[in-house]
Amino acid sequence: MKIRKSGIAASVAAIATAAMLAVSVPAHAANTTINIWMDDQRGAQLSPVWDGSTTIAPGYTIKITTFSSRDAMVSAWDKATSASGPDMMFDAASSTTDAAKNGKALPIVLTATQKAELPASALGALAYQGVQYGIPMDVDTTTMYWNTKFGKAPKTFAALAATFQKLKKAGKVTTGICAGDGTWGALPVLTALGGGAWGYKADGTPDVSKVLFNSPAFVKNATNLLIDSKTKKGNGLFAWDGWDGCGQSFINGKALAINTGSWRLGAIIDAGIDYTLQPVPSIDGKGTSHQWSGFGGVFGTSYAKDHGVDLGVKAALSYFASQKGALAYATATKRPPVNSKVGSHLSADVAGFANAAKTGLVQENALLGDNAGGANWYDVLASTFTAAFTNGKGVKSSFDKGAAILKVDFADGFSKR
Amino acid sequence: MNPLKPSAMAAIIKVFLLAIASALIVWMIYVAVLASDWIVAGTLSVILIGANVVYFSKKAVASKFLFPGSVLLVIFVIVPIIYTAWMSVYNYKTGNEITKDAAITQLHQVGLVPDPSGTSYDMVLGHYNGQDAVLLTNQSTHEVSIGLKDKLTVLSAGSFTTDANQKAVTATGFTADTPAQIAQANTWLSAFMVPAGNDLYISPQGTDVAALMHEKFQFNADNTKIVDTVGGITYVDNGNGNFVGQKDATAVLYPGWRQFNPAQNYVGLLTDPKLNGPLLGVFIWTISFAFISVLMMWALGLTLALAMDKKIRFRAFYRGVLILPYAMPSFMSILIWAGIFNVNYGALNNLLGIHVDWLNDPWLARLVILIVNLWLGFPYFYLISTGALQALPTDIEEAAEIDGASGSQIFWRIKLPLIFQILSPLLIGSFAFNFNNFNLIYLLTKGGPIDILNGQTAGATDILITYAYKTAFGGNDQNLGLACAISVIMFVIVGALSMWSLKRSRVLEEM
Repeated sequence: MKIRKSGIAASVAAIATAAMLAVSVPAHAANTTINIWMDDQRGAQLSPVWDGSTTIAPGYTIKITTFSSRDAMVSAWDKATSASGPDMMFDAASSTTDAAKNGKALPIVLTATQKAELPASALGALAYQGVQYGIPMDVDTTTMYWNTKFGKAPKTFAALAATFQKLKKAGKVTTGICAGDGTWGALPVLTALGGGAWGYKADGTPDVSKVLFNSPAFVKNATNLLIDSKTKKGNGLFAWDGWDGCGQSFINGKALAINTGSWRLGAIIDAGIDYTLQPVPSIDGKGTSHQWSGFGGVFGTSYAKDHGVDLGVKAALSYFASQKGALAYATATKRPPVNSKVGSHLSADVAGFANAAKTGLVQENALLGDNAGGANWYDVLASTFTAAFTNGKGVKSSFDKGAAILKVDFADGFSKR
Repeated sequence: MNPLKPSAMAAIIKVFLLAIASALIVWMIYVAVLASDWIVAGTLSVILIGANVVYFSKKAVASKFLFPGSVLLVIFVIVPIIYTAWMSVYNYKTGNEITKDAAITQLHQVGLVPDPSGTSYDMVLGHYNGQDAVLLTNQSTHEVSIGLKDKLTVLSAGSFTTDANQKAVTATGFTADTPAQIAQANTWLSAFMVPAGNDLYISPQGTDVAALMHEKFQFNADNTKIVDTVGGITYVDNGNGNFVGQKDATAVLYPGWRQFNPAQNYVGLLTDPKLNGPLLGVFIWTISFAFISVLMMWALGLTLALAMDKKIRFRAFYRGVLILPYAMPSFMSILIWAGIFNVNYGALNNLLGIHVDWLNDPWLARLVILIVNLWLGFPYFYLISTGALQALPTDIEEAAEIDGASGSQIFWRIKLPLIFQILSPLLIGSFAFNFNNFNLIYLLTKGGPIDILNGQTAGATDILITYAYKTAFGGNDQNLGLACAISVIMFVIVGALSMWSLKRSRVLEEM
């Protein structure tokens, strides 16, 4: 009996203590902390620069929350509530538009100066249904790393193919050019050979009635250069199985070139590969190949309003849109900046990728995603490449089938854009 | 000393642990209350009271053992099942995640758009005649005005001073806020809109800039209709979580909201050709994969257990080696196997000097799946079969031998039925596990190969769980309601099969 009484007393005391702790937390003064979520890469690069800053949004303190990976951040974002959610988030542009569609992003208004410094296509990537939600910060784009142990980079795709055939015969290489980021990074090879996704109207908008995927020029060039005449399958000049596949061949010196972005720079340098950067050469060296340019950016969340810091968030977004903010970001992350006024202040590596971005085509996620055709651009490419180059089903018939799906996808996606 | 009477030390430890647990729960209740999560707060309160009653009562002895397990069962099993079933009857997907009230609040914000003139203002926060106010400088015309929540007053020259950028910084009767005051201004500034005439407002866009805005959406009284005064479109509530164009239902306004629609996801599964087309094939492969996997794993595990049941040299070493695949994290094993079977750089092709695309042929990919699953699963069956063999009474075997039964007869007619009887619940559990073996399929083949070019929407090795995952999350949008509906159906199938199997094996009757 004695034990019970003391137990009850202790338990009640503990509960009371916890309750007092709870209620003794000071009644909220206005919140002045802006919590910004970032993935592991951006977080590691930007925390030393911005965490604790009181100058980005005067009157507010920046708190950077870094996640162990982008997946971890996206997972936390999916589960976020008003109590746990961030005030701002850095991520790919699609996160901004998804958040806008879900009612979790804060609409913003840009000044004329900001609009002048940021390309309309980049701003459009962080807008949804005509409303601006985010600030584009960096361009995610690719370029061709050529392994200089095989000589100077060729000026034409035909020369690249000839070099590959010679070195393959000598047993020195197994792969010509590798799409180091899977089918996403395959566009330069398609466009170099006269193919691609869709055409463009005179005003620069996509012409979805014109599907280039199975253009006669591409079918002819791909059949001549990418197919082994004996096996009727791919000859190894083009590989698309990404960093863990052909990417490792490049690292091991068994591939002539890889098309990938600045994010692989460190690994390639660490592997001791000497390289030059240039676009994938076109078939005759006269035209230009193109790659997708996606955008990374920052947006304010609807939770910022719940937390009472929405105006601080807008002030911070204004800083990120400014030259000062964009330069600080580009310097810390080494990502090619979107802000057109920042280029002259960048290091050679970053400037190189910024230069490469000039030949990029805007990655129109609405058109490239899963639409009425039944499969998205990336999966269609994988299936088409497998059919044409792995299974030897023929370039024309395989690409014709792929193009039929993409035609429906593009038209459907364009109508919802 | 009464052995049943707890010692003082035990009592102290009990009180200490309970006090810690109680304090933690109280803290969680506090956090839940702050977040207005009343259901969570209420549930935690019940657990708090229940724990204290159970552990300070001398009568509820059985409950002391059952209470923690029961609470965890409810939290981690019952609640998710109920929640999944509940969400399966909602239109709950990307664009339809928040409540209707939250969606309408957001649409009000979205509808507040910049005036086409793009007029913006430099802004200084402060007070004017005791009221919250903003000192505004038009960035184009440099006209200066004082904005109050109900009035905009243009200031005459001489009544304000400007800085080098022609931005007004002081004005007669206007007191600028200090940095500390600015930091606290969000509370009043967030909803501050200065009327500027002609249905225009000047709205702060930070703490030092404002923009001329107008409301393009006009809502009717009960929020069932929105008129877009710019686009000239009238949107109406479609009853399924969205405002859509009155004349063109494909014009959808986002965000939408989660809408109760009990039949939508289940009917969609039956009627949407993209979903129901490959469902039968996927279902057959799922059953086949789970059944063959369990059969193979058990056969190999039992064979090895029988072999190790004999007294052979290095038996302890062999036993250790046999459970190694079980000791290694399965995801690592799967990724290694994926590399081994890679067509270009895989060890298997390289060692055999062949060029077989193991993961790109439907039947080979299925074979690979079964082989890898056998590798991952046989040690478990070896262990449980060893345990079962050791649990068999030896006198039955001896009696059979005396009666003249052969070794084969003893195994097939005595040992195997007894082992089967013992292992039935584990076999059924393993079947249920493999029925939902997402990791293996997704890490090894991602459900492929899939012949997209010929219209396939499910891969050759897709099982129901991976197909559901891809259907719900594989595209641009996440369809959480549909994923919940598929999960409910799978729960019913696995539950029904398990119950049927248990009933057939009469295990429950023996328990």
